[in-house]
Amino acid sequence: MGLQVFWFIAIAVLWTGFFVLEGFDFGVGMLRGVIGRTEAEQRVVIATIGPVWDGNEVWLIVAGAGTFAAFPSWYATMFSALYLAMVLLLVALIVRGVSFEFRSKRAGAAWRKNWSRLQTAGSFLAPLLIGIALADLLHGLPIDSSEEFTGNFWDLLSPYSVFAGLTLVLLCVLHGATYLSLKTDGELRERAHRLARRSTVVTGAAVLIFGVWTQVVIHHGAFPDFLTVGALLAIVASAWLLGERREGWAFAMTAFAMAATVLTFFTDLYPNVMVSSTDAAYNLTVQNASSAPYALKVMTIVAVIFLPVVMIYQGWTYHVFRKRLASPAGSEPPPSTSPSGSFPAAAGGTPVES
Amino acid sequence: MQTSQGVSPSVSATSIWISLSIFVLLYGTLAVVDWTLMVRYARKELAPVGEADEHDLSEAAMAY
Repeated sequence: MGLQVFWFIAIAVLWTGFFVLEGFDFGVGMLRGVIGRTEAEQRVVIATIGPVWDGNEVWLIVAGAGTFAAFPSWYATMFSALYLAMVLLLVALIVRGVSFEFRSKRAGAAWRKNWSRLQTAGSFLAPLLIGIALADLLHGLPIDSSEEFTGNFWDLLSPYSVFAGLTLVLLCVLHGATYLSLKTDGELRERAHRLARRSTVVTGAAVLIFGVWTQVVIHHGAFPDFLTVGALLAIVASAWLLGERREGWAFAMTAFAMAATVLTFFTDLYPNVMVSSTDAAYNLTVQNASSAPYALKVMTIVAVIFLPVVMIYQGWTYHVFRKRLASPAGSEPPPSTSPSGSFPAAAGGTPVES
Repeated sequence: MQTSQGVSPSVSATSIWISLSIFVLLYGTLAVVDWTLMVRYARKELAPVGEADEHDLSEAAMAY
């Protein structure tokens, strides 16, 4: 196995790790207002991801940086083609990140409501846009013989790409709800539990359609590959495990479903890294887009030493914050000014149970 | 290699203006919001020394 293949796999693993980890905190960000009805409950929901979301997000940076270093041509064409979409993604990630920190810095209802909205919107937009971007690599973009993107913003939004983005959003919802059922207790846990079980149906259907559509896009017939089948089995298993109240295993299954779905992009993309819809001869591939052997060798040595270190201390964070968070027993959050009437239950969105 | 040789041919000047304006506005707004928050917190009276420890603990439990 050459170093080019090794780095393609490494980048696929980084994107997969990113979605397995950040996927649940995108889900939690989207579901904050649905699972948490009172202000105190919403703060518990945010606290479940408080210590980990920023660490999870670093995987995205490493995936981008790894692409830059190992496949500069891929990076250049991709980031130029997706320029405006990337700007939108950054805006979504910035306001979402700030919302976690700023939301509780003032007690006013309008202040919280605004940050809550930005948090929900950012948590929804980020996986949608990344899903669209990854699907575009596979679906093909107009790229000419000198590896330049020749289309416009709307070329990025093919129906397949948008559907792939929505599939990832749904996986994030399922993954996030399962995570909340694992990390909370009492009423919050029950609501997260119900929502997770219900979302398995829609998410499973979306993953199946995505799997079939992907095969059609790459002209491989209409049967989903083994990764999609694995993802579907994992979603079914998670529904069953949730019913058995084995939330830890259910979370492992939703993580597996997320990983298998993200890996589908990369296994079906190889040996290309970006497909040209103009002419297959202009495809960017693992071979023609990579760095020189010396650069790849140095990067490999650095990655083999430091990646395990990073993974160990990130794992340690999860170990430290492994306990469930209790539901607030009807108490108001402590900070300074707490006018009890100013956090209306309406902020929590529509009730989950029917 | 000169700057003019490093320009992306496929990213238009319009796109650059759009992104630059968005980031200036976004970070400008966040800077104002952040500054306002810092001023508010700086003006707040400190809790009496004896109660400080207990106060800190309850804040930490619900930090978000």
